[in-house]
Amino acid sequence: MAIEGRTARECFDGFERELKTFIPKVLTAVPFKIFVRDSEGDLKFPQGDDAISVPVETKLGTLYLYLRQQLSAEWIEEKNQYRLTTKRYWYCLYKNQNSQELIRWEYLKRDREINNSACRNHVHIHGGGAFSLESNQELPISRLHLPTGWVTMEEILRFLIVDLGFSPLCGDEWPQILGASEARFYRDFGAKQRGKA
Amino acid sequence: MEQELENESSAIVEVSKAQVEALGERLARKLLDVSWEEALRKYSTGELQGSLAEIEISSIVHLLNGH
Repeated sequence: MAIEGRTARECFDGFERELKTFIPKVLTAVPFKIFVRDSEGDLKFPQGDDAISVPVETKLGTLYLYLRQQLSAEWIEEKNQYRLTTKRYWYCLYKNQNSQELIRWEYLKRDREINNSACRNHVHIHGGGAFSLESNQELPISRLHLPTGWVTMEEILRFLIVDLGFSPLCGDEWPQILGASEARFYRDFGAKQRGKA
Repeated sequence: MEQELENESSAIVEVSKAQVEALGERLARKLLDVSWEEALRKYSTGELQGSLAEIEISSIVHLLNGH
């Protein structure tokens, strides 16, 4: 069962409830908001007109995490109700606020007009490095759309905690909190698990 | 957005078309120092690919048109 509702707003309300189960408990108390116009939504950490990244203390020092999603509540004729879908996401890790990112996970739904031929789920890794070929040609890794599966925000938080040493706000409870949220995600957004996003 | 219809207990902020259009104009000036029309052209031709400006312009377009 997906996040569905009789109105678009009901879908966004349902997603908001899900976000509240883990973002403020694990990552940050900074408000994470969905700006909604009709059936379209824009999820971000807002500050004035800007979407900000939030500081995360890691074993590499302070890094900055940017989470952004474009959402749509789409009318499903046969079900006579709306269903929430993610049209695009960006999860970026920055060395400094507003600087070039270190890592960017990205998803672009196939119905978009920009960059439509690249892997729809991919990661960009910056900071140097290239594939060197015998012909002396180099292929910078930062320019590659390295394929990934569907990346959840919960997985990004796991990466921060396990690989980068981020201390979650909830302490040792984080595996249960993220695990429960992921379980709900794969129940409510089943198509993502089957690669039909 | 200064005139958001915001409920403090909610993380959902409902915005109007006019508010989104005004935000687009401000972001185009702030991030690219161009008009919204020029920002939209740069976005459409892929010139902004990989930048924060691309994300912002894309998000405005999404709220306006669902694209």
